[in-house]
Amino acid sequence: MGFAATTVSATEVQHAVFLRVYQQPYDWQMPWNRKPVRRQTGLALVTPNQRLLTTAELVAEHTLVEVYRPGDRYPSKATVLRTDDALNLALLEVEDNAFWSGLEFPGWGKAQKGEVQVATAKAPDRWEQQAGMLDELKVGYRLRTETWIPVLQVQDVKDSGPAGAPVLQEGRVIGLALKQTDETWSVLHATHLQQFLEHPPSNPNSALTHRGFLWTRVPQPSVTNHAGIPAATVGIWITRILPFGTGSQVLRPGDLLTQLGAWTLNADGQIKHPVWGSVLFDTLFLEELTLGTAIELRIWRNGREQTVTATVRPFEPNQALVPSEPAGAAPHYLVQGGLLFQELSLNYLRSWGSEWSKRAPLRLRLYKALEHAALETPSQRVVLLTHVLPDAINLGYQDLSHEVVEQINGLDVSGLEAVHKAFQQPQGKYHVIRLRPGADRRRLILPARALESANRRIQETFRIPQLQRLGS
Amino acid sequence: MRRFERFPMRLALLLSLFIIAASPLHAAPRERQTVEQAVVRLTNYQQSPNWNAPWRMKPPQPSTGTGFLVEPGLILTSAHVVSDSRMLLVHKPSVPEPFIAKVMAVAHDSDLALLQVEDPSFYEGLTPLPFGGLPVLQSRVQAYGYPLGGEELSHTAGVVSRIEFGTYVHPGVDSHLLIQTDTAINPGNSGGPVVQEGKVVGVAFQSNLKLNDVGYFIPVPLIQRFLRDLEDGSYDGVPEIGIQTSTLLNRNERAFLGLPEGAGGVHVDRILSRSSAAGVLQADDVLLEIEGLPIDLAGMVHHQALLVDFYIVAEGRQVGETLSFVIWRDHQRQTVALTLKPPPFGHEVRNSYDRLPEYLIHGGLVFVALTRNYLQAQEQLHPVLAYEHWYREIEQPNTRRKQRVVLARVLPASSNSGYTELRNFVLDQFNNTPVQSLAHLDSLLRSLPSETEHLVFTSHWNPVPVILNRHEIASEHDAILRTYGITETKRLHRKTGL
Repeated sequence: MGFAATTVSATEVQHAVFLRVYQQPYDWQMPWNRKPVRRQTGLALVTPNQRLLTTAELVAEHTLVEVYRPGDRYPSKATVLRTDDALNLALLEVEDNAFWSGLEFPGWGKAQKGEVQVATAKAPDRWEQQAGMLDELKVGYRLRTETWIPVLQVQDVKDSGPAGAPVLQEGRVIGLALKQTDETWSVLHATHLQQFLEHPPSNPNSALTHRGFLWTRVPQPSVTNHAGIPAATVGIWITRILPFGTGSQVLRPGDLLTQLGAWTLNADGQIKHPVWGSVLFDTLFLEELTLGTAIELRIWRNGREQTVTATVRPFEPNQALVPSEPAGAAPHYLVQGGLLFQELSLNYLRSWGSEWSKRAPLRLRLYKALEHAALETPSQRVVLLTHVLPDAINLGYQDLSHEVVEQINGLDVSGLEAVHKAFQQPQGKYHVIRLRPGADRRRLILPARALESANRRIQETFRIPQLQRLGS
Repeated sequence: MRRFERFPMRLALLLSLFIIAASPLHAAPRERQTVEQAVVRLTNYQQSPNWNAPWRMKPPQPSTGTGFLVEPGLILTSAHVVSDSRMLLVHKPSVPEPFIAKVMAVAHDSDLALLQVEDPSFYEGLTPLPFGGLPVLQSRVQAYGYPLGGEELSHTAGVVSRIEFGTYVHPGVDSHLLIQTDTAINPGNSGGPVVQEGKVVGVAFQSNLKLNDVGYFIPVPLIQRFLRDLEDGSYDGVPEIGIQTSTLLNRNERAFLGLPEGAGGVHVDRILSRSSAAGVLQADDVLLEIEGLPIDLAGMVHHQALLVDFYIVAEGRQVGETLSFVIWRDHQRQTVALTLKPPPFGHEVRNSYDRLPEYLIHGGLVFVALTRNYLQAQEQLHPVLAYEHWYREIEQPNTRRKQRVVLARVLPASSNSGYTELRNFVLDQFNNTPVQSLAHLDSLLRSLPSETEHLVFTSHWNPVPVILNRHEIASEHDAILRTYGITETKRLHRKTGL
């Protein structure tokens, strides 16, 4: 049974505002196009320095962000200053100084088990006060960015509320609501909000500190026995090292991690937290292990117990073979002779819909499913010939789609930039595009001299605003 | 273009099995009488294995089909009609008691089989049907058979609407010439003759669920190739050139290759290792002619009255025969000849019939060979299995193993506790030795040095090895088999470890 919701006067809410966001998602199959405009609503927290904090997903691919103070009849325009996709946070600015009148940051609180208050609104003038019970700190998996994030769990909330709702305890901010399932709200911890606000805008990495490895339980005593580790030793088995994060520099697959700093791990990777009890060790990255600090890791390696020192490091986006581009990022592409080149990304796979893992072309799905297994030779990205825009120059190739590009003009291509460079170095009179084994054909030929005029013709025929959008 | 359709995305194009029948027709009375003296109804009690629990069999199930006499004492039908047979009955028209038949030869690659009935009285009053040739497009054909197992011989008529290469559903990966007709196709007609002017022009064998009124039959050249193949007492299979080719419709590509103006030909993209073409043809060759027939830019040749895929020429040949090509290599015309071989892959690539799955159980760990049947028996497509089955050979041919061994599941016991949820662990090494096959793994397990304490199974796909105490596993092995009702600890088709 949930707490009752009570209607509140708009003037009683000073720490939150109402957002109406118009979004126009990119069409990752035709990357110069956008899909129809859609509208979302949500809330934002008023920050100490007269900015607004909300979720990155709410403002992703926005064309217009309108913001209403509680009770406002007309909106002000907000600008998105920066986002952190891993933490799912966005910082907004409203230039009109008059907007801040009547708004106030209520101060940071320290989350603890007990009742919380949330002001929610489904329209700028329809605010209500809800209550819930904060009873747990869990480690959630953020599928979009494939990261683990400690989140507060609030139970017994009467209604589902909008994303970005500030969660308060004793009148102070302890978190920001991310999503609700049934009567449970997942709430991003205030520490993460502060870390995001303090994060230098110039730093491309996330404000989220990260463990930097994958692990599993030790399946049975034979494993430690085989590794020459005493039977009574308790810890977790390191299985993969990620290219970023805290353990990435010092740990190795096969290590048995028994202790992080002063915290002893049990067989399930849990520590005894003074506030939250038995929780996964990732929760230490909230407050106890801050960015840049050194931490001693106690491990068993090659039958010997030893201590290694790691530095707490952040999550770094785009380190995967098939990365998740930040929410709202414009897709990169390059068109040459009607051949549309794109990098394989999670965003591209998701263009097959929510069931992309069943519907996208199998080989592309396998790149994602198997990316951790070091199957490929070291490569930054998988470059695809995603479609062919039919034209006389590519006659005979027009039915190709979703093929993996291996080389262009003799150069290995590990990203769109490499494709761009390779097309500047034709092999004599021709550009030679080589596709990976398994493609419907292995080689495509484009005439170098006729390419430019064909590009102009194709651009006009298919109404493509720009023939390329590359990264920085 | 490919000869073999190995990729699952192409499976969407696959056709449903089972065949012919339908509406009343206008066969000439004499033709019908001739056919009635040759066509028989078949009932096959088939039983297939459970590929997820390979020591078990599924319940036997009856299925019906059609066959016809092609030579005195020999009945021709489709392979899928008689696959996995436990008992095969032949029903002679107007004779209530069925006869027991046995399969004399089967060609799963081209979905054909020959049957024989031991009782000589069965053949009394039956007359073989003569073979015709390839029918002409739009010509009328009659299909005869027993749709849904009915007692009366049914016949339907239609026209030949297409003659081209297509996938044979029964093996799943083989592509051969097939003839499309608008004759209705229903289950039970499979294996029946398709007749034109009193002569057999094909064997009905599959339909297409996505198209209305479309059925397919196996053309006579492939049937006659099957019969000739058997003349030496064994079936070698349809030979395979072993190349992947692509069209040269793009004029820039032709110019890049320096092909003379007006020349046809197809580009060789890839040579399959161990194939007929290996060592003779090369990637980037252009095939200009096959056995003197010019190959056009789309890979077609004029064969009899047809414009058809150039593979037609190889399809009619036998393993061991030669095939000549005129090719374009290094800006010159050259003539080369290759000796035809069977496809360069094993049973695991095709749908498997009449062959029980291999397995090996050790301490509750169930090892199987990765096969097409095992892959398709999984509830969901398993990424690692999919890569190993479909892509390794293509992308990393040098890393191919004789057999891919999979730790399929673990039968829970105290000695393997902790691994009981493990599924489909593709095995690379056992105690630091690369595992080449199930039989190899069996020999490694049976010849462990006495000092070995642990069994260590590793996979490059999985960072977590499976490590078990050798003695605990061994001591529980027999009890595990008893607990799970398994009588045989292994079934291995290969006799040697390597």
